[in-house]
Order: sequence, then C-alpha cells, then structure tokens
Amino acid sequence: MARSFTTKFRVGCNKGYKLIVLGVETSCDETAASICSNSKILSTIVSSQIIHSKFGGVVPELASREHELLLNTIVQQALEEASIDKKEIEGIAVTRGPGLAGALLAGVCFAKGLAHGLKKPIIGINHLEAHIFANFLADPNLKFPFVCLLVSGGHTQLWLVKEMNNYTLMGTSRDDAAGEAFDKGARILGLRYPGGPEIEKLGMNGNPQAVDFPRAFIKNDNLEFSFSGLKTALLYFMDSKKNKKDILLEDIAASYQQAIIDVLVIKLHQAVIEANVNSCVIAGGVAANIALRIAVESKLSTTRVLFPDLSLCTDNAAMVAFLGELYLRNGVSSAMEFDIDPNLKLA
Amino acid sequence: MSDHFTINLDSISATQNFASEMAAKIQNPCVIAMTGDLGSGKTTFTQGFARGMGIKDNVGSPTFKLVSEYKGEHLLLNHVDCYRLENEKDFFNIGGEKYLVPDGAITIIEWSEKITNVIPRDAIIIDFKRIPEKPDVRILMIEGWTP
Amino acid sequence: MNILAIETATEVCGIAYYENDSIKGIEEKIIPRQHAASLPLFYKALQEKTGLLLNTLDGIAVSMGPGSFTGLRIGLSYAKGLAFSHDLPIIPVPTLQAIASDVHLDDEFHVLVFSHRDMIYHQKFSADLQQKSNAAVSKWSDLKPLIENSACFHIKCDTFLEDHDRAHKVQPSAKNIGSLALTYYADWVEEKPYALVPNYIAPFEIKIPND
Repeated sequence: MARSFTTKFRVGCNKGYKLIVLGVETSCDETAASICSNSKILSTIVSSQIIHSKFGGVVPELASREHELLLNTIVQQALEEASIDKKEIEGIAVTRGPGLAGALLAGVCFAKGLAHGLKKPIIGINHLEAHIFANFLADPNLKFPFVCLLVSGGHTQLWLVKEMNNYTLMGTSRDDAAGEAFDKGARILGLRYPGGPEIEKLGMNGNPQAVDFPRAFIKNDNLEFSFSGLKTALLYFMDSKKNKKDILLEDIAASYQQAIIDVLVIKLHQAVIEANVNSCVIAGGVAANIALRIAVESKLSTTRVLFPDLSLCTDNAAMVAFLGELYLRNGVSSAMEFDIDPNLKLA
Repeated sequence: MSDHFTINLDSISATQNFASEMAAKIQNPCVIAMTGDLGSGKTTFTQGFARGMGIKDNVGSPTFKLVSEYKGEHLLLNHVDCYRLENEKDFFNIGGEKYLVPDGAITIIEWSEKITNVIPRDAIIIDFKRIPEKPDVRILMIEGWTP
Repeated sequence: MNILAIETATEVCGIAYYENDSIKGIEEKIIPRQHAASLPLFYKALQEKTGLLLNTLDGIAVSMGPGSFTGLRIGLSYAKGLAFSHDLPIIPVPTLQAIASDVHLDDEFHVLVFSHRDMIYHQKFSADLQQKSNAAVSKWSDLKPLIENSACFHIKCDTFLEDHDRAHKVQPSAKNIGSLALTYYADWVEEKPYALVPNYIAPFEIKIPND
C-alpha cells in the first residue's frame, strides 16, 4: 500500500552506524525532547512531568500546549541530562504530523531553525509511526512482522506492521477511543483525572462480573471498535437510583473496565490470527493497565507479547529521536521546505 | 435575540438523520457551537452532520486530538472538541483562532461552553439535553437556524 | 552591528541581513500561507547571496505582532531555533511600529492591519513616530470615528477605507524590522529570548455577559 508521505528523500547523510540525534515532539499536549544515539536513549524530557514535579500539581498558566514557551527549556534539559553539547547534535528529528497545526508548527519551525543554524540534517517524523517504533526501543529483539494494538486516549487501532514503511490499518474505533472511554467513564463515576488509573485503582477490589455492560462488535468478524455505547450505558446505569444504591462503586468500575478489556483482547487475538504473526505489541497509554496486560497474556498465551514502558507509551520525544536516527543513518532526511501535516496518515 | 427552535429526537438514527438534513441545507461557512453534558449526543449529531456534508470518512470523537478536519462535497468540516481545554487562551495556544473564522469550512464545536467568550455572535448554537426518564431521547434547542 | 531580521506577521514572508548597520540582502515575497515552507528557503538563499555567518550576528530581530497567529508563531519559533544554535539574542520588534517607521508624514497617522471579518489591528503614531496609542484590535464600527481625520497606512483594509481620502496601502518588510531593531537594540534586546511569545492580541470580541 502506497504511503502518503511527502518527505523528499535525500541520499548521502550516512555518517556511519551511529548519530547523535535530537528528537522534538509537539503534536498535541506535550512538549518533549530527547537525545538518542546508536539507538540508545540518552535522555527524554516531557513537559507534563516537569510541570507536575515542580509544582506538585498542574499549573494552568504553564500547563499544556504552551510549546513556544517551553520548547527551548525542554531541549536544554534533554541536552544537559545526556551530557551533550548542542554543537554535538548530528541530526534533528521532529514530529510533523498528525496533530494540531499550531502545536506542530512550534516544534517544526524551531527544529528547522536549529538544524539550519547547526548545518545538520533534519527529518520530519510521523507521530503514529514513532509510536509503533517505540516498541523497538522497549525490545531491541522485536522482529517484523507483528501486530500492534495502539490504544490510548486518542487512538484505538490495530496495525499490521510488516516492515519499515509497510503498515496496514486492520481496525479502528468508530467513535470514542478506549482511553477516552476510561476518561469519561471516570468522570461519570465522579472520579478524578486521570480516568484510566483511577478506574483501575477503584476496580481492583471490585467484581468485574457485577454489571453486564455492552461489548460492541464482540461477536463480529470485523476488527472494529466502538465505545460510545458503553459510555452511555454507564451514564444510564448511574442515572437509575436503584442501581446506584444496590451495587458498590468498585463493582461498577471493575465491570466497566472489564467491558473495555474484553473487547480489546478479543479483537487483538482475532488480528493476530488473521495476520498470522508470532508477536504483538500493546502500545499507548492504556497499555499501562495491569488488568489489560493480564488478560492479553492469558488469551494470547502462545504469542510473544510486548508491553513497552509507560514512559514510551504516552507521547514522548524518545520515540521520535529513535526513529529519526534510523532514517538519518539510512541516508533519509527531509528537504528544507517540508511542511507540517495535521492529517498525516500512516497507511 | 435569534429564534429558538426545539426538537425531540428519540433515537441515535433520528439524531443523525436530523443532523444530516440540517447539513444539506447549510451552504455557507459558519460556526456551530454545541453545548450539553456527557453522552447528550454531540458526537452522534456530528456524525450525521458529516454524512449530510458528503463526508465518507469515519467521524470519531476528537476529545483527545482536539480537532479533526474532513473534506465534504462543498465545504470542509472542522470538528473541534473543547472538553480538555480550560478556556479560550488554551484554545488559541493550539491555533484554534482559525476555526472561529472558517474559510470554506463549517466549524462544529463540542463543549463550546469552555470558549463561550469567543464564539462568534452569528454562530448557530445547539444545546443538547437528555431526560433520565426516557434514556434514548435527546432534546435539541437550536438558536440561529431554523429548518 | 550585524543582525538578521524576520517578518512573518502578515502575508509577506521576509528575511533581511544587515551588516555594519546597513542592509546587505533581503529575501521577501507575498506568499499567503506558505511561511513555514518558505522562511527556511529564504534564509538559505540569503545566506548564499550575502555570505552571512550566524556567529558574527549581534542578534535576530523578529516581527512580534499583532498579526496572523500562525505567521507570528512560525517567525518566532524559527528565530529561536537559529538563535539557540549560536546562543544569539533576539530583538522583539512590534509589527505596527515597524510599518510606521517607513512612513514620512508631517502629521499624526494610523497604521491599520486587517485581521478578519470586521476586526482590524490599529495603532496611532505621531509625525516623529512616537506611539500615541497602544496596539489594539477593534471592530471597524468602533475604529471608524477614531481614524476619520487621520491619514491611514493600511494592509488589506481597502473595502473599509473606500471613502477615506487619506488612505495609503503599505506592506510590512523585514527591512523595517531590521532598521528598528538597530535603532532600539539596547532597549529591546533579549539575551535570554526563549520565553518570548508573540504579541497576539486575540482578534475576537470577548463577550460581556448579558450582551
């Protein structure tokens, strides 16, 4: 399947087997930077962590999406932690899409300025492809082909990853993503942000069979997902006073979580069989859910299953730097005039 | 103030059909600001609306990505979701200003309450309500547009 | 002084190089919505034509707004990247003042820059280019009485100023950004420029409740 990737390829940047690459990520909420060399991450800095640790909570004026304000500080920190001087940077990788136009521009324009100032090559990276390649960071022994379940607040997708530049979207959600279902479910249950971990915590001691919430498409052959009906089912359930009185909140949370997990696990299993692969990877923020991990390992007992570290599952620049180094080492870089693409596709 | 128009829609498909018909009647760029709580039908409505604009792509919830852009037959559709935004400053940080003056496009905004201060005066406002006694019904109150 | 000057607040995308206080080269064009792609190309072209070296610069001057949010973001972010590569300071230059600096009149005047619909950025200047008002944004109907008897130097306000007999079309230029930056270098220069953000002045009416 042809890729709609308009980066112009240029040969001749190959400097041997390793490069020191700066990765920059500003596609949505996070401002992130990372240094990667020889496929090893020397540092990875993500703005939300800085803000939280510094102020013990979210500071609205500094919080999300102020990429123009935060980017340089984040890049400087990444360099410091890697003990690299900016003059040692040999290439720059920056997310060029998909994402929010305003956010992407802040990162791409800064990266271009820095690349031009340092006279080093630059490569525009697809954010989704970077998420898939985060899995190689997690396990260098991972081999093509594999199925990747990308499950987060913004995505619930099943990808068949045959090899570099050869990806097939096997299935996606028609409406809400799984992470969003967790987030909004938590709000309906009156829990704090972030929803996923809160529901997981609450449901740990609950009975996952207490309430029979709908599991959309679970009997279908298709690899599609739908979580909006589950969200409204929870809403209706909580509307009914009778339900609220008789059943414990932890049972409702556990049952709601189970409904999401069941669907994810069954579809993943179907995809692995259909694609006839030996390995699968679960990536994205929801992959941190322990109950999901246990269920996947149980159902896919004969498949090699990989769960990357949470720091690699949420948006970060390490995956961008890592993938960027791979491209640059192979002589692939972007022409100076490359543009952002908020709707950049992977396949 | 503009006319109010209220309609009761008793199912998902009724909501989507109504939205689809509304979209087919809107020929010029405009902003549609939706208000209403979780599960009140804003995304469902938008899915029907997109269909009415001739958009074949799957229209999912943009809660996390904040904006989705689609190409319709005559106009583009900007599907904005302010659920995760704090206020208009946050909205401008993401380059949101261009969606308030859509160029060759319709902008439809979920959770527009978050940026109510900068919603254009001539925007169409749709408020969505559920009634617990009749779970499948949605009541839409529309300001600035009549069928 | 040697400085680089960037102007991206409107449809004009421009970059100029000043060496020893005089302009040595400029790459500038009206290219709506292509600034992100064009600015780096213009920089490269300018570098090739003038032989400019970043490590000889005293700073990078940037048009800071008000103007197009996207354009401003592109210009400042690119400038920060360049600046960071050689630890250069940035000189933030007010966009409307830069436009005014090219005006030669014996009287007070206004600079007007169209935003969208009926919203216009504006600022009043004296004959000797002092700021007589703050840069602001207003609805045309509110602005009209203020500029009635004033010469107006405008960008894309043709339809509003059809009946105005002292209206003059102008273009912003990186040349003006550079010259103003040189004039006010000591006052304006930011050695640690990374916390700079454009002067956006949101061009939307913030509605008053019960309006």
